Amino acid sequence: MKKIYFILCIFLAASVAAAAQQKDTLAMSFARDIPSELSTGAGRCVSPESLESSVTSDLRNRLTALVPGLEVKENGGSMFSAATGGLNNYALGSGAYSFYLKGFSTMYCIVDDVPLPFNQLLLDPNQIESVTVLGDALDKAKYGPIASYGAISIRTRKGSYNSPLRINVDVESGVSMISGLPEWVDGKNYALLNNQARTEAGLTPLYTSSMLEEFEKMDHNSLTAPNVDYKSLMLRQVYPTSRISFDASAGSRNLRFNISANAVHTGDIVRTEGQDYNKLNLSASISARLGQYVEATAGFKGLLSYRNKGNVSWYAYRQVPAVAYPLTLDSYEIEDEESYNATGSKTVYGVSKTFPNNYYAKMREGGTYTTRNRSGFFDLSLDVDWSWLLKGLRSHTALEYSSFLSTTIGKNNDYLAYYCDPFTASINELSDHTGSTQTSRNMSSSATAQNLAFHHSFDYLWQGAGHRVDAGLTYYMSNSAQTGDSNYQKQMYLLGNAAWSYMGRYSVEFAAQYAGSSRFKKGSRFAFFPTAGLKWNLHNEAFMADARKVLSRFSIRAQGGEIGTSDIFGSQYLYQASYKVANGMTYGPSINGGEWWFGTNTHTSVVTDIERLANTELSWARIQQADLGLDLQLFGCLDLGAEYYWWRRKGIIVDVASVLPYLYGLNGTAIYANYEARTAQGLNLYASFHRRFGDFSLAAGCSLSFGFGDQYYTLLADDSYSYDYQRKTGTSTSSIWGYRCIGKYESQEQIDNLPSYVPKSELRIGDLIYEDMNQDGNIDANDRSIIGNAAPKMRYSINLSFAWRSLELRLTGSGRAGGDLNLSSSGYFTGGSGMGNYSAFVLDEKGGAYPRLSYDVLINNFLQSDFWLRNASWFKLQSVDLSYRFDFPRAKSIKGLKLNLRGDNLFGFDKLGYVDAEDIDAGVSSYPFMRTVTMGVKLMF
Amino acid sequence: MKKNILYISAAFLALNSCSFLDPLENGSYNEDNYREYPKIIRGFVDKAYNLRPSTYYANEFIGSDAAADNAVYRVQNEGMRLFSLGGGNISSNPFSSVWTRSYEAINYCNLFLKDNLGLNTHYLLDAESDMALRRSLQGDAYALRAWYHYDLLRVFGGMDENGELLGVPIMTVPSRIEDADPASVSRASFDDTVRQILEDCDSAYAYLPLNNRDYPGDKSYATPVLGSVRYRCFDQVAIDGLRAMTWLLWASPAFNPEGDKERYRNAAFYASRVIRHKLDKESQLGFDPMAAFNWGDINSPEIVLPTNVGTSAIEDKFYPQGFGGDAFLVPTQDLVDAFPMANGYPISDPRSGYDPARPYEGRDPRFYATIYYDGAQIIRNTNSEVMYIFETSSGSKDAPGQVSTSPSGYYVKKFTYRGYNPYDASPIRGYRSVSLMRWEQMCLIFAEAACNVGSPLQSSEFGLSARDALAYLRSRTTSDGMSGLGKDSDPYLNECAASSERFMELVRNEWRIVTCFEGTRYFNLRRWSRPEDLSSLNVAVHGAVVSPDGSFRTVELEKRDFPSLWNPLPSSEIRKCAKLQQNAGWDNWK
Repeated sequence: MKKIYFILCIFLAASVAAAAQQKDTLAMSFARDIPSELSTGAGRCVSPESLESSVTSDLRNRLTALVPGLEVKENGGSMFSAATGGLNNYALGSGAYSFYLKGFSTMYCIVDDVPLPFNQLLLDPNQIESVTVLGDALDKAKYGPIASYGAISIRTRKGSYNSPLRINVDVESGVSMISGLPEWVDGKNYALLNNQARTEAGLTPLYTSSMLEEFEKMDHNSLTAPNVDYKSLMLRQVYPTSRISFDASAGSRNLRFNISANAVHTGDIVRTEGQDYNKLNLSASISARLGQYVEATAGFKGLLSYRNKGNVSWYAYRQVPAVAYPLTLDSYEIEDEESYNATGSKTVYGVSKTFPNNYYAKMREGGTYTTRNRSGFFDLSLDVDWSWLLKGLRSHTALEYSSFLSTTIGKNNDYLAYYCDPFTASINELSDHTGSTQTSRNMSSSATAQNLAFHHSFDYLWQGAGHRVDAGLTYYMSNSAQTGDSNYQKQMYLLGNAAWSYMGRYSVEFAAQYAGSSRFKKGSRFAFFPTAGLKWNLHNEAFMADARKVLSRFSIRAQGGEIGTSDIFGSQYLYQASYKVANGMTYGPSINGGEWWFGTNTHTSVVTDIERLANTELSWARIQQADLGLDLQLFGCLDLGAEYYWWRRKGIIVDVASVLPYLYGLNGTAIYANYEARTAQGLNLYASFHRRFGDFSLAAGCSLSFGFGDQYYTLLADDSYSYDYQRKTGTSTSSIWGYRCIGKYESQEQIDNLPSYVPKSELRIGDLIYEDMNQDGNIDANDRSIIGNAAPKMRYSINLSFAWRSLELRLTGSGRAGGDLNLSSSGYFTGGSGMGNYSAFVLDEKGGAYPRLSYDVLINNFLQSDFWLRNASWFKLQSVDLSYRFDFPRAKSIKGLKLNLRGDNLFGFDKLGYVDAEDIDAGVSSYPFMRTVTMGVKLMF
Repeated sequence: MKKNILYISAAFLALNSCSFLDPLENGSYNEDNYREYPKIIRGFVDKAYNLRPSTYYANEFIGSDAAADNAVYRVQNEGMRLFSLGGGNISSNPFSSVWTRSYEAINYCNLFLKDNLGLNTHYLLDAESDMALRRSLQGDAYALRAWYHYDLLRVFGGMDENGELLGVPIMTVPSRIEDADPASVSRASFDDTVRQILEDCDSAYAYLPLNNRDYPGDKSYATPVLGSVRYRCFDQVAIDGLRAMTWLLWASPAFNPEGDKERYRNAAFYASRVIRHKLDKESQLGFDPMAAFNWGDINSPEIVLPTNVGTSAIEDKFYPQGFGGDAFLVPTQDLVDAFPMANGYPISDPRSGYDPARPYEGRDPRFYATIYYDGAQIIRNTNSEVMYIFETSSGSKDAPGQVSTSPSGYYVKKFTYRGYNPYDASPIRGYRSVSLMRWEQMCLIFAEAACNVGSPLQSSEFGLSARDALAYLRSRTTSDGMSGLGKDSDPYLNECAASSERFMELVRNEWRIVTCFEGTRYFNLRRWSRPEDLSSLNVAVHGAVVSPDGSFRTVELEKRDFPSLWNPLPSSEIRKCAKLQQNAGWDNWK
């Protein structure tokens, strides 16, 4: 019995330790592994076990709270989003997720040493061997310019030699619920607000009191007083989600393989029939040792996903007020032409002149389309041990090809609707919706992307007398193309690095990049970027031997240098001028209007547009970065650390023609130069504790990162200003510019005397007063100054893990403190004019947090000002995982069984009502945040 | 041996690396090859032509009428409306597009003219046609540069804070970013800008053909590049028109502090040349000053200089919601009151017979062709079908206060295509272009200029009298087909022609009603006033309220509030150029 417990505890300790930040060897660039103790960088590694204990279907969301300094933020709750910046863009973020690491919000994804677009792969934890987060200067430099803003390096599983067959099957199923949906007013309140707004504007109110009474009947189809609850008709609150995973690996002395596959199915919140999302991904790898010195590996990763969607967006339910028109007018039977048998019925819907679209009808009869994505990544590599030539020399050569195809095929049908006017209770003529249906499905869009990459590296390792010397040289070239591009994106780098360490105490590393990109003109293409790093492991020093009981680790490290960034997915040819021709007007008499006498010659002119003027010296932008770090471990169980970073981006490529006034006639012409610069600095702190108390073990970690305003403009192309407070150089890039609101008008005298943005005749008591910053008696754009900053003061994350024998509970949470949210960017808060729908915020807060209700939008009240700023702090419990594990070490088939109950995004706090502070558009225009609860079983054979 | 292998492979890689990163040839026209393509060079001139507006629905045309007293906007927060009520905003200067597009076009003209690049390019194989084309294009480039400078001057010319009369920065060389020095740019004086415009007109006149029409039997138009194929471009007649407009602007009280009458003489001279050309030469082409002018006839011989043809949906901006529009811009009661009665007398004159209880009866036929009022009908142009009847009495469908209806009780009829009906199975939009200069405008320019030089009745100096010029306008058939009010006799015209002051008053009113919604009212009011006198600008505008029983009264809708006669230069320009002077009254637009 005790043996079993002993084994279990070791297992648990190992798994907890695996979740901790330091691993024994660090999988770094291009197949050179470094012992993490000797690496001069932060060396953040994430183990697959900690990735598995979260329930979402996207790996990016699973990274939340696992790495100190890395923040993952969700933008709405959608799980299907396109990559930002184009199909082939290697950026890890997308419309649905934003990343932040050391002042950069762009991060790239590198899989098996090759940059890959994560959206084309969507890897799952059982395909992954390790994930390393690269944030420090030299660590990024080893990967080339692709990692310059920060990167995640993923190693996929390849199996191990000399290991028995291991199979894991995991089945998980649960539900996702809408976690917060901002409310909109119901029919009766809409009518009351509309009447109030029109009366105040001097217009006749439209809804009579008899109509108001009839609205309470909630009759969808009434001609005189329709009142439709679109939300319950068009949205569902809960949808199912399920996942099956499988992986198998085995290895003999000369052969090893690994196969992993995952299938996911989720529903959707819109009630369109069949709207769902399905994904299948597969990865397989096989390696063979051919002789004593050569190892060959072949691998394949593929993704197939289907998204079935109707032609109506999820938020269409609130675009039409509930009382705009009756939902359906009639339905009649359709007969077969020959046999006169009824083959179905067709519904006639209502629309109105003011709201000419019926989204419920579009949902029912608008047709659906399927977006199918299919991608395949093939790679071949050869590892050669050159010790027959020179002891310690190895090489790795790899070729990778990927291809991606996305098609959207479906039908875009129309429904049949007539114009109705509830005010006169009349049905009028046929609307623009005539009920046309497409006879067959057609392809509405398709896109492809391809990528070919090759790299070859030499690595030399020498150890002796306490020294360890490691040197390497890598040559990398890649070529990628996608639909819509007129050219290929090409990169070529030569990367070199050297590392020396002595007795595990001192480490010194150098790295250099010589990089070229197709984005620049011949002659300015290549540039050289060096970086260096140092580390001092005091705990290995002789004089620290006594203190080692308390201070089991004490390291100081630093890295710094210059790395190049080419923004490889920016436009090409920017160094060249561009004269575009286009058709212009037609000269000569027009045959379409009026008579002409004698002669009908016409000439279609061709106009020349100078889009761009040349700048042949355009070249690389650079990042100069310095990182300092301190890591301590006390009593073997408490880890503490602090990191400071500073970087400056120089030579950012930007259009400088806007610096000139329009009187030079260069409006519409761009000239690109390496001009702008930005700076950032920050501090990351982390602490983690892990300890076993008999059967019970506890691990807790917390990390804080301070960005001090994130990035600052150090040099700007266009910074023309008339007053000092308008100066942009030296301010934070996330500053919010706007007016200062100093109160509301309380009397007609104030309206007459104080300066205002609109003419005095437009203002009423209760409208906002703004401060005249330049004292010129006017409120205009010259009174805009910095009123807040969207960057949080602190980003933090917490993870906790409790284990008792075989039972384990893990919790992760993350959040932000400080920062300002600008509500005036959201239509939820600033809407409510004309005949449009009103949000619950308008209903509850009009006259208070929402200014005066007005029929015509009064610009004065909706300017970007500090009236609309709120505190952006929030905290969310991102995932909860409760699991129980059974082990059968002597059994022949099933060796282990794990039951788990997981929850994601269970609850959160913020200082904002109505919407979620993590993303104020979630539930308004982006997908609402979803709360997911699943149960699963994992079988280990 | 092993080292050799390493060196060779390194060299191999190095060689390969040179061409691997070359991007695909993108076949673009760039700085190295554009001079080899004549169509690129010719494209500079065509680009400058293309930048002219092609719809009257823009801030400097009908929008400016809404900033004067001819029209109002229905939507409260429309930028032009707020600008006219004294609430203009530096980030939405309603005339900034005139500034931006004019300088862009001037830069393209300068690129064409520099070192005679355009004149020396070979465009066509046939030598005679090629020479004709080269000269025409060179004339076009000068003419466009003159035109755009005129447009800038008309909109932005004015006095700065120190009382100095300024024009606009004159650009005669193409801009290069290396030489650009915004800190040294300043505005030329008004007189210098006018001289530059006239000089460019003279250069253009030397190169351009006489008229862009085909005259039967005229051999000079035998080449395929002259004649009607150049219609919509400049010709010598249009240059004369531009000269007339420029001289008249320079002669106006706002820009003529010394009261130099010679400027009026020149304006009248050039305007009379255009008029004579139309009457004498273009009558061969069917030009008849008495015939109706149809706004949908974009080839009409009445037009001196048109722009591009488009099928703009201008009706949507004018019709009420009941007829498929949203009544964005509507006429005022003040414009309606400017139309005289059918006997030629203004409504304020007791001899006119105006009945305030029945204001729409017996009016000038031009009124019925310009404005829709209570009870007016939209009649299809092909078969006299009544498509819509306006009901603007309180509570009716088109009355002020309903959804998307006119706040003044009137709707614009001028410009609308009477073959368009939104309820047709396939509605047809009319074809339109902007007439930058046309016959009626030339008559008005002549009338105004001539009456300031001598008596409105004398015709010896220019071959035409000012009175006759106005008579053409008052006695021609309207676009609806009704006979003009002065067809048989025009006693009021003769009465006013006896004195220059009274005639000038009549000319001002004729300007207003003949060229309403064409963007002349706003700029005319400014050039007719002395710089200190804003009384004609800051007026109240009114609308009509018709009650169901038919009784009629007017209400005040808005009151204009301008700080000065001049328009503000775009504030971003002032901010970037330390020496660029802003017009008086707009000191905080920077």
